[in-house]
Amino acid sequence: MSLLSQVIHALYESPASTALRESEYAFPVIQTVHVLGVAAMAGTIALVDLNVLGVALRRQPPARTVADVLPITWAGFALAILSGAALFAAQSEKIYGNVFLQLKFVLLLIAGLNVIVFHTTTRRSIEGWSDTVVPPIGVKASAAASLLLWALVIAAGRYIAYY
Amino acid sequence: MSLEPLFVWLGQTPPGVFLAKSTASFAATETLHLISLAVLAGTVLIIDLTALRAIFKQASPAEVERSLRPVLLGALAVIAVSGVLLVAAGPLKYYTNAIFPVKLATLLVAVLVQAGVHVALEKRREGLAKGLAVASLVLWLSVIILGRWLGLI
Repeated sequence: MSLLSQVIHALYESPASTALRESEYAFPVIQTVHVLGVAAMAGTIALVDLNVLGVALRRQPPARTVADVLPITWAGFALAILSGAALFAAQSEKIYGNVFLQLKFVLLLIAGLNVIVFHTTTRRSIEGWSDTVVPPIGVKASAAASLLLWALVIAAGRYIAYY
Repeated sequence: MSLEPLFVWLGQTPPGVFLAKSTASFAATETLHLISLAVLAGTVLIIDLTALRAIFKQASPAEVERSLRPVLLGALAVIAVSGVLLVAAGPLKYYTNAIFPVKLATLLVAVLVQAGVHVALEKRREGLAKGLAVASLVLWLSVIILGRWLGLI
């Protein structure tokens, strides 16, 4: 038995995971929290991206949009990751081999790296932007990649249930 | 008059027949529904919190609402089309579901209240806009929760 499968087995058999798996209401309640967290996080990220791309909020400097919606994005992220971890723990042994779950983890990693790139380089470079400045092509590419990556994360998440 | 024939007809349309047979396409339609739901949620959060003067304090709430309206309506259109397709894939499940009509009614009220936020902001009725923004947030939250739960009963 590999170390990973031993860890997964211990996680799956832990009292909290077992209780959640066997509960009638806790599981769907946490699923609902997951949907709400993802909607708040991905929705606000999408609007920052659309702002950078010049599609939405054209009069609003992207740096200010980021600053104003970031608390909502973080709150959504916290809800999504905590509920997601609980949902995973409860079903871990059954689904850790699921190809769409593994794909989702990889996509989350890439989307996360894109977020880090945005906040360490891009965001600093857009601080001084006014509404008249057209974003550099690299910044627009990062925003377009973000839209695509989060859409794929949602898609992979949905497909887990069917395969 | 019973709406049952309408649901039956929807299930017999080519997209209904196709989605009932194809798991991958059904999941893709659900994905489209969820992605547009996320965009709608982000848009509504920004419009309502701006109307409440919680974010974008330097901007005009009416202007923020105006600039986000195409995104809001676009997301709503994709949600509606994908939603009808999901029902077409298994119409009788929805016809007999007790939560489904409640969700649709709540959705209708949410859309009307959102239109109310728009009118109140355009007419510079700030107090009214704030009250409607709170109602809108509660209603959309309820629509999402009801949507998740109708799949579970």
